[in-house]
Amino acid sequence: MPPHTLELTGDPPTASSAERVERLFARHHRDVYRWALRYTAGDGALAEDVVQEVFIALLGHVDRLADDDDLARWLYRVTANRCLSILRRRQVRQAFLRALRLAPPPRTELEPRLAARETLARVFETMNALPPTERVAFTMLHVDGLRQTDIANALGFSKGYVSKLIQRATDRIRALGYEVDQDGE
Amino acid sequence: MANERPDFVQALRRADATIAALPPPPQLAAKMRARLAAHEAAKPAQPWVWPFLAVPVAAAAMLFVATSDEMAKPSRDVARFIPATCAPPAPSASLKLAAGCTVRLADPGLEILALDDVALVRSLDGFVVQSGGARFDAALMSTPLTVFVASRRLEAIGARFDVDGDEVRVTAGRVVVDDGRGGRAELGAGDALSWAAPQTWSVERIDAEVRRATRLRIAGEYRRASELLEQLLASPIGEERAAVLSYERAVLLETRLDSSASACKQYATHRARFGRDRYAGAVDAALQRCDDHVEPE
Repeated sequence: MPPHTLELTGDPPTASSAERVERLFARHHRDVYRWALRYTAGDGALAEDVVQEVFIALLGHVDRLADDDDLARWLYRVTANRCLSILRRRQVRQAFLRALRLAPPPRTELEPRLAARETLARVFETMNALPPTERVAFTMLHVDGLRQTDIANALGFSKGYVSKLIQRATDRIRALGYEVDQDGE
Repeated sequence: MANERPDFVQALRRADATIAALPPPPQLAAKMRARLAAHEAAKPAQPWVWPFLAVPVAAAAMLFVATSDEMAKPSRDVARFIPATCAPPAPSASLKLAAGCTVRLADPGLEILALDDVALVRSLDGFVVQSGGARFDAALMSTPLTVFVASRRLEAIGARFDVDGDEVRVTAGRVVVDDGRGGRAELGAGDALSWAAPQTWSVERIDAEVRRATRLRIAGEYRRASELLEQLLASPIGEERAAVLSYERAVLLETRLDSSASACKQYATHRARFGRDRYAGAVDAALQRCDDHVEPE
């Protein structure tokens, strides 16, 4: 499941949701930021937005999470889905701009510390060429090490659809001149 | 040949290892704190909760200020900002703050929180909010605080208030709003005052209309050019550009259409609307010509 163990305990029973979320943010926002940066292919600005959205959403759920495992699963699943949603919105906006024959904005604002490295930039550029669902599913399989069943559960898709997404992503990446090791499938 | 193709999964994992080493940007925590605080503030509380809530909130705010102030104190000889969070490299009289960042001022007791990306300038009289929204917490200031926003002057006494381009909302103390045209309102805690943000056409749209008027004028279609300018003057194009077009129309009427009465009316309208602007000398002379040349009844 999620690749990190988180901690939910330690709050006094009288703490408000916002106080609890603030403490959880202090502990876990690095993990969430890293996941967001992973799924947005290094887009620092998008990753920041995702982190904030995730912890604001946590306000409404923090009292219902039973333990650390529950929190870890929740943070991971919501981060992946928020990334997916934000990437889809951006894709729709770009399609709209193209339809209006206006130049679309740059596809990604690569975190400056990453943009400086050419190989990394090429990897993220390739990831950016994938549709959002394929990109997130492919990353969950090959980087997070999840099984296709777990990916399907996290994203609310069927296992068959996840399998298709990964196959399509693999084909696209191969068409761009890379080999894709199938050991994760 | 296939073996020479790089393995994408390995490359992606290496890229991810690099990502893992990147800490989140430092301003992220401040932004999150501001959003959580805004969320709490927006939550309706039971009346009996307020006295109990006030103490921890004030304590948390003081603790936040105390722990975030790691900057050296600047001299008081110039009015300057002391960055408290999201610190820019040097103090200055103008400042752009990202949402969630705070500044504290050399003058004791004033703290400013950027509610969204905000541009501020410290003037001799007070502060000018050029764009964006900010929370001014002057509850501990010993002197009145003056803030200018959207041509309005806000005078705050021991107050805490949120302000942006079209609204001020007071959460503590008293704020007097002067609209510069004789309108004045005094707001207390819980009060808010909104004013319509000027709806201005986009620069592209204005430019297109002005180009159209210029083409008509070059083509010698002065009557149509004048009519178009009249329409533009009644449209939301911004006062600065309206002043230029107003004077242009008056000159057009006077010199090309030989319509003295209409030209005089336009010069008089120009004076009433824009006062003594950059065309003041030329308008004076034109109005003088109008006085000298009174048309028969």
